[in-house]
Amino acid sequence: MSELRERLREAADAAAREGRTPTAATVVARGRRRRLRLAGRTAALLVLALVAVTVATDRRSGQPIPLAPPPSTRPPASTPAPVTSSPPDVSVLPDPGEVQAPAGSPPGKVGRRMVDDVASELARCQGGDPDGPKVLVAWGKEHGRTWLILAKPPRPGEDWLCWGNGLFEADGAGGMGNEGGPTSPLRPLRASGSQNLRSGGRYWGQIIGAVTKQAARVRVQFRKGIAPIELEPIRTDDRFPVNFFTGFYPQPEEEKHLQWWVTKVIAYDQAGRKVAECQATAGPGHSC
Amino acid sequence: MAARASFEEFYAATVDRLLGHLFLVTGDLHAAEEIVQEAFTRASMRWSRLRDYDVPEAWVRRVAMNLAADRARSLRRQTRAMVRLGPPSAVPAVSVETLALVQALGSLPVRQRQAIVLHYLADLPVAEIAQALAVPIGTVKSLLARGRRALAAKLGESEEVFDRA
Repeated sequence: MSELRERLREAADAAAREGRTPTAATVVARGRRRRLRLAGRTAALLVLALVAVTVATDRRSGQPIPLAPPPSTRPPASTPAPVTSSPPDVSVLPDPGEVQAPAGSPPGKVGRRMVDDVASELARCQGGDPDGPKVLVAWGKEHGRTWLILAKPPRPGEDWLCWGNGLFEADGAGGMGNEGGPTSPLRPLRASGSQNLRSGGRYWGQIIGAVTKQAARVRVQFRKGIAPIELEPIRTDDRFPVNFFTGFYPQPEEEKHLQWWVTKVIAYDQAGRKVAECQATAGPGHSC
Repeated sequence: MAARASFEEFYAATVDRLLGHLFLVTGDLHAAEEIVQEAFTRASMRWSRLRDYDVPEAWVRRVAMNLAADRARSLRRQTRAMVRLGPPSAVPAVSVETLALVQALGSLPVRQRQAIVLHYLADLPVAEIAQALAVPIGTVKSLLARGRRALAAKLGESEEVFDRA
């Protein structure tokens, strides 16, 4: 057949060979759990509707208003809460495994899902103990979004580190990625990021990365006259060979389509000596 | 597919093929893995119905192609999807020529990619591609012609090389 077909087949075969897919049993179990979850949601909605109808009917029938607390202080929506919490909260992503959060984690079900989503993404990275924990190193809220950094403690002999990060909107929608792995040996400084985050009537970019533990501060320089920022590394415990950093910067409004604003990232030690530097190149998919 | 095969048999027979197709559409092995997982999870939830289809794989492929198109759209909506500036996409080990083809394919609009993969790799006739992508037959022909032309131009090859049968 055509050369195009042969080359496409070569690429597809290589992807099929190297790609990782779960067993059929795992897929079936995931589908079953999702069905349960959907059934739980439906049941909760039915209960809500039932409660709302009952309350409305009671009021219309002219029955005496129940004793204190007055109805206005007890909205019907809160009544079925125990029902909504009964179905299992199952993520459709790969099993995140054990997650440790020594510094706490984003609150609520949505927050827990953010952590699980990044942990699931991190589970794809080959490194650390496969049965070991993923650690929520840090998280925070800025510009209406929640950012998270998770990492897997490396095993002895591994000169790389699997870590992942996520940036989520309040409802849990967002992006995440994992970095590191056997083909990506540790470097004293590494950075990537996101851009075009709309908040407060303007666009913001995020920079996030890993830096040697020698570094006391990280300076980020940008194009287009954006003022440099200085970030203090997020300290990790002895299980990790590097610290992390993240920060946000304002983008010029009229240039929102540019893909990469960072030009250079420099790490300095406590004495102000430069300990690492990386130069960014323009264009999508680039990091520093 | 044998009539009323078990989901496990169906999955084993089709998952690798679909993963290969989706890798070429997304250009990213991890994304393809996720999409294929999601499509098969949905299939498992409807297997009692799907197993009676003549070609259940067509249903899964259509779901996966829709998910891939959704993903491409959400990546374009940078403000909402927050396009990552992380490491390059995951790509399996292939020859230099094939890698160039994968990269060139990745630069085409997602609909052109889908049409090319479904035509050249899944061996679907134009009418079935139109059904799978929910577009008119004429649109599929146009997608294929434009896609081939764009690929040839990006790879510096003549279109006839690709058309050689």
